[in-house]
Amino acid sequence: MRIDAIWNGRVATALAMLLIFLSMSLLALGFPEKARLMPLLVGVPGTLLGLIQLVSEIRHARQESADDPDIRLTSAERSMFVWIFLFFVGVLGFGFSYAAPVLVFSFLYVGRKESLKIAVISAAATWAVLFGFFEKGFEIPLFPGLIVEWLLG
Amino acid sequence: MDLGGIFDALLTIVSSPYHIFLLLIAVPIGMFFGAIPGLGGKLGIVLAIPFVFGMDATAGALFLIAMHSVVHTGGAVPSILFGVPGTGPDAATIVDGLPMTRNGEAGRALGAAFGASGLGGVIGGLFILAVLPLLRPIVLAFSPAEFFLLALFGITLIAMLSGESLIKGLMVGFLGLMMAFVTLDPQTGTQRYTFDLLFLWDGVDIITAVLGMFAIPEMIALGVAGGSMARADKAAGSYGLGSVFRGIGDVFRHWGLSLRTSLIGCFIGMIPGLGGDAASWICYGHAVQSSKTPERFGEGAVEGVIAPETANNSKEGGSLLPTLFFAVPGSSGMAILLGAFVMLGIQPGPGMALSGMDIVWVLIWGLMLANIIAVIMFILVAPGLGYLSYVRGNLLIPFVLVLTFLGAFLSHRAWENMVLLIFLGALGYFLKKYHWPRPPFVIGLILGPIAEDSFHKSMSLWGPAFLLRPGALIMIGLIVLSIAYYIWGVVKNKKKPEWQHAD
Amino acid sequence: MERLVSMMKKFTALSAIVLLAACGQESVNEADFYTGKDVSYIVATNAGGGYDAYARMIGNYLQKYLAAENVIIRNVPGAGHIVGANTLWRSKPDGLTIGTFNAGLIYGQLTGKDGLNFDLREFEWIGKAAGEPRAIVVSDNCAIKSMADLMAAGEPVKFGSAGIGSASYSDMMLLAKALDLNVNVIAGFDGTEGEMSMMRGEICAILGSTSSFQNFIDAGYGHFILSIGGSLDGVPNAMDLAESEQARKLVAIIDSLATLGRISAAPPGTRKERVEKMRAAYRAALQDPALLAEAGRTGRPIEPAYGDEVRQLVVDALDQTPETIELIRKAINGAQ
Repeated sequence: MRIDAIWNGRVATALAMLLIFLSMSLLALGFPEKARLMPLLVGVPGTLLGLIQLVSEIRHARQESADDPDIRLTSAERSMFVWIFLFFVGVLGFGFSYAAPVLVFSFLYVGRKESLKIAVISAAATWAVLFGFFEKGFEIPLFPGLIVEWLLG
Repeated sequence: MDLGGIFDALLTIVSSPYHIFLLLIAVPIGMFFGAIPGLGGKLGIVLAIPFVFGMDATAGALFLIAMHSVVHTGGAVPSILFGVPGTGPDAATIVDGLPMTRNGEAGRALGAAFGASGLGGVIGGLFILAVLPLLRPIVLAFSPAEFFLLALFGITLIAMLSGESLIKGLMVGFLGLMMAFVTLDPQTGTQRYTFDLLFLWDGVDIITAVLGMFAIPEMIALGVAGGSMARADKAAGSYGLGSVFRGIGDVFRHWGLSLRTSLIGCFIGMIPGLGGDAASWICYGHAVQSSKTPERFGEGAVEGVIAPETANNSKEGGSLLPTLFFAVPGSSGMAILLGAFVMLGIQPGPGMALSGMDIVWVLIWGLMLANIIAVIMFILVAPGLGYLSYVRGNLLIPFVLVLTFLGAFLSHRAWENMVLLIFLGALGYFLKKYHWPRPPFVIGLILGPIAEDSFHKSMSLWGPAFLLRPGALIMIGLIVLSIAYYIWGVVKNKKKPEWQHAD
Repeated sequence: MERLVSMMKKFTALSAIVLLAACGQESVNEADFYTGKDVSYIVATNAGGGYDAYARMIGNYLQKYLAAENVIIRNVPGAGHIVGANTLWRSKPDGLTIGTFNAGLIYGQLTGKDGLNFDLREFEWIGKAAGEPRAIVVSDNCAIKSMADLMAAGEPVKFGSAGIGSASYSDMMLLAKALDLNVNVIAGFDGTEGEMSMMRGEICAILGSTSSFQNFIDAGYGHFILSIGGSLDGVPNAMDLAESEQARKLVAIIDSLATLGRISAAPPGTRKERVEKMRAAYRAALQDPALLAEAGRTGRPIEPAYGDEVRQLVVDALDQTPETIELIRKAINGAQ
């Protein structure tokens, strides 16, 4: 397929950057006259540079062989993305004091096959620092988590 | 002004075990608040105020200034080891500090950061003494017009930090500027790119942006590559005392740079309204610009650690000046310190020079002593910290991730920042993977608002004629010179015959 | 995954128990409800700064008079106090959460500003700690020396103010409208930047709270030319200069907002007994000689009012005719 021949990670990154500039420039057109000056002053040249970069990446892609390891996501990368997303969802839902120890434990024990001892100690230490140190010691309220907030009214 | 009291004040401090004890406690507390992203020195002082309340003015002021002046010394540690900036101004330290850790030079990088911080702090103190008589004219010489041009000068550094691809560098820098426009328009108050989300009204949080651009990509890369932060193996790499001292030695080996960036930091600190984030990036840019081998930057050049770290600590000395003598705080941290001073019965303001110089000397000595104590304390723990770079990545990743999310939340106490963190983290990873330079993003984000705000103010105050003010003309000259110097460097390098590149 | 599910089940069970326990306790000892409990005090700014300082100071004494275990300061900054006020609005009305924010949000509610999810009339008002008259200070670098000069100015006089949308900007725009001043208001001077700018001879004057300029005036950099609400020696009062009924109304709004300094409230629907207890503790705190001494030392003026009095001030300030509201909207959004 033709699209396959020019589609790789580099092209996608350049395209993403171009799209950010293009959409932000278009949005700026909707601002009042005084407010849109600066965004357009930066956004339009950014869009043009993005086009140049995209074209050059596409040209490169045509010349390169398809088995360049750099150009697509490896399974290790995918796994890290998933873990970071899990951390994000966990903390967002259940807050730091509850979710972080669980996440630290599961990353070590389930994700990385570390020993149970290491995983439990790490989780306990995380909880001690977040809850004991921040919330109790310094009285800095940490994010309680959206689901926890909802459960507790 | 009575200068005779200078050494009496030093004697007051060092002859009292109580004062020494306070310094020894305040320094590690300050460094701790600096080292945890999102906590920062401001919160540290707010939390310390109740404890200081009962102390006499000298002891209380000494405690607070000691705590405040070493915050960025602590902030350098996670920047260097994990790419997690302890404080906003420590973000610039990541750019070369983190690659040094990857190259197995964590000890040296930490040594350089501590040495630079200590030196910057001491120079900051000496600077106060030297500049006291000239304070008023210097501070008043900087109007929004000069702010605008100073920010513009910083933005031109984007090109110099672009490395191999100018287009990529410019695009990332422009993206930083675009992100800086995500806020209420300063001129009309209309929402720009905020999509009715209140947490964006105050702009994209800088700590969150740096965590997304550097810490998250670094953790992904570490998880993918396996092993430890340091790529070199344990036997070959070094994190012992020897390498820490080597780093400290680097600060003095590059004495010209250390001195210049310390002084730039003092100046920027002294002028209220510019902020510490700008100081460290401008100094980083200066280090690249003045280097004979700019291509080493971003790959682990020790000068890239020295420049921002000297500026971080020296600017505190600078910002103490307007705080004490005009009662106009030079930074937001100083604003809180100012409130605490008032509470202790110290009345900052123009009357200070007539009535209260004793306490001024105490503060200056406290600032310098705290910086020296911080270096000594850190040398002792540095090998342990450096060892962290050889800990298995698996054991490091979950903690650094928790710290990263914590920093994103705490810096603005908004959970929405964690969403932003994820988006910027993904973008940052692909930028890293495909060799787009990331420092320009942070420069754009930090200097964009300063440039825009001061441009509007200048236009309202003077119209386009603001560019003809004497200070502005000097700044324009500097910008033109620096661009010319950069172009000349590029052209000269291109003209060199192939064989000369070899050495 | 299984682990996670079981964790969640346990967690749900646990929270149910906690809730039940809390309910049980409630009915038993309402009399000493606060004893041993943690109270959250939401501050709509980041740590440091005036609101935070007042809350931390008052919080210490609230804890004493409520016999609470802790009064925990929760900083919820953002969008010019709106995020903090929104958060307080939807906090659980169990009496364990109160908050403090800028009374300038009254302008926001009057003009129907985006992002406001609350009705200030519905908050359970606890009290206010401060409040002092606003005044105009002019720099000695400026050609304008008195209010008469300002009223007669041919060229627009440059005024500094905080960012567009802030309370201080709105005050300024309203005053300019009320007294028909020929001014050019330049926004974006936060904190003491305005004073620096006056010292550099850029802007000519600022409108702000009287005490905040004391250092500036004591140092001989400028003087007051107008006071709103209060009375300063030899300085005219804005109310006397307002010529029409409309103008007097606008000046009155600025004045009543200035009176409402460092206000504190509980979420709507908080039980009456608890609100009363909180109000009593707040009153006791602000009358405590130790607090007054602390406030005096730290240069934080105390001008308290309590409960229904504060509520009445808020309700009155919000009770405006559509014409006045339109006028306010025009004044504040004039720059757009």
